[in-house]
Amino acid sequence: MSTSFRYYSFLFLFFLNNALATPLTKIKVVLNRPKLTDSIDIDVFKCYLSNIVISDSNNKKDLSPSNYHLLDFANSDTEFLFVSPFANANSLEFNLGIDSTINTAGALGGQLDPSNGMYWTWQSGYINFKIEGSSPICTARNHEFQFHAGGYAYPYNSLNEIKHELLPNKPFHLEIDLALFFNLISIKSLDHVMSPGPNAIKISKALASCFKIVEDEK
Amino acid sequence: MRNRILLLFVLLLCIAFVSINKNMSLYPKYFPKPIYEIESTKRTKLKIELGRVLFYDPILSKDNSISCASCHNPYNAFAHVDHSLSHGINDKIGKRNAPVLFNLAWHKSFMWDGAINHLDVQALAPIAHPDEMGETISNVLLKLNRTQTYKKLYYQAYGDSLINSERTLKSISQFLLSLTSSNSKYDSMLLGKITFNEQEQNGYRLFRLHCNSCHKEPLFSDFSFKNNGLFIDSSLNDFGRYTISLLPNDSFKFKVPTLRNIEFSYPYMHDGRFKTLAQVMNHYNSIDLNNKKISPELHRKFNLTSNEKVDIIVFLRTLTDKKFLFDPQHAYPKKQ
Repeated sequence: MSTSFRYYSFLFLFFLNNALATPLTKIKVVLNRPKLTDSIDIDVFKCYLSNIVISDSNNKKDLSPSNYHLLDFANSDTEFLFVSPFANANSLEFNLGIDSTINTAGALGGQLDPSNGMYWTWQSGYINFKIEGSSPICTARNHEFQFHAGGYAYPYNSLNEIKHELLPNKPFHLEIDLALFFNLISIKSLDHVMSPGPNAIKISKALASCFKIVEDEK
Repeated sequence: MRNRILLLFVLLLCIAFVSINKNMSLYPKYFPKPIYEIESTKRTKLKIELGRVLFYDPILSKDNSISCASCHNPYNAFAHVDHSLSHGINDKIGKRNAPVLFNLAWHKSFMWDGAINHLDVQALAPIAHPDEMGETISNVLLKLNRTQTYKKLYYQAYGDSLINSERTLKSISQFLLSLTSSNSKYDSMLLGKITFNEQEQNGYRLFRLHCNSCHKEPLFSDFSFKNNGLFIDSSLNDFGRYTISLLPNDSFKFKVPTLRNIEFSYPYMHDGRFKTLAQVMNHYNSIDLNNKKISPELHRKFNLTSNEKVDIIVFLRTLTDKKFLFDPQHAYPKKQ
């Protein structure tokens, strides 16, 4: 990866106030997009987070009734507010992508509506995430790279289960460090992924490893 | 008097059942359990009718020129007669032959390569394909939302006039699921209503000997993917199932098509290369046994005589279901 690449990350802020089980106890996901001054320009970042489950030492709970969330950084509405049911949550689990059950369930609505542009038409299945943009180091036409990752069937299931331990009583946010993504994927050699297969698996694992729990500064 | 009322009630009940049978196209007892079953409460005549209107409406294509029925003609069991490859907007030609549409509730997957995993999402493929309708589902919804006719139809079918992709796709599914073909001469023979003549009987015997392992009765397909030994058309370079599964063993495998209504669904094969059933018979009778990629079921000499080939074709004609082909309930809808 080019050294001129500056730090670039998206932040999902999951504010977790563990002290009180009041309506204030909530997890908030907001978008924080730092200004770019580097060599990679991102035009599209959309991804599905699903089955978000929060646990304390005794209990597990799905965070919302319809547990499929499409994050779209072109869309300022991408803000989630979740209420944590536990005073001392100690782990946060979620999937990056859509599971096979939903992938084979036919036409669905809401966040899973195929008109959201996150569904392949030539081959059934959800696109778990899209990252599109351009960079001078990319050798493809117009220096544009385009990553559409999906695929739910063996051996090319690109869903990634992500689990993070939480420190009790500490507010945190969840961050996607895309700088790491572009360190793991060399866009000099891989600039297009548009179908399920080994490359979709590779970029999915790369993005999954970019999620980090970061403690909020007081 | 009480008896009369009871009789009337029973009679009404019978009529109700008959009409469900007629409109909802339930299947005969000797069919296996379908894969796609709609709960009877969700299956309504108005949703089927909405699906039918959508199926015949070119509004689904980018320039409003191509409907589903453009390549799926009801009088050819919803195949594209005389056209080897499917047609699209701006006279574009696709890569494959448009398949027949009926008894779809029994399919595990759709398309010649099984690319589509559920009937509800099937329509998304031709709508979006640049060589077919070249449109996006979001734009289709915008166009539908602009017409009073559709607002009314969605209102009638769903209780409010919201037009979204889920309702649109599921209504098309309901129409497609209403297309059941089970009234051929073969079906009458199975039910003991008629008997085959000598030639049909001999064709049936030969069919069971040579063809039945893949074209499994009573649906006449096991819906698996097979390499049936066709030479590769270099103008298409179609790898079939491999494109989807990425498994090298799936190269040049295509879905086994049903043989019901085969008399009316020419041309044949995934690329429509054979115009007649006689050509199909000749292909299977002259398979290259040196080709190790061919499906094991075909790895033997058929040695069919000319008479035997004709007898098989005569049997295949007993799979024609004229009641289905010319059923006005499936045809172009009346003006709304």
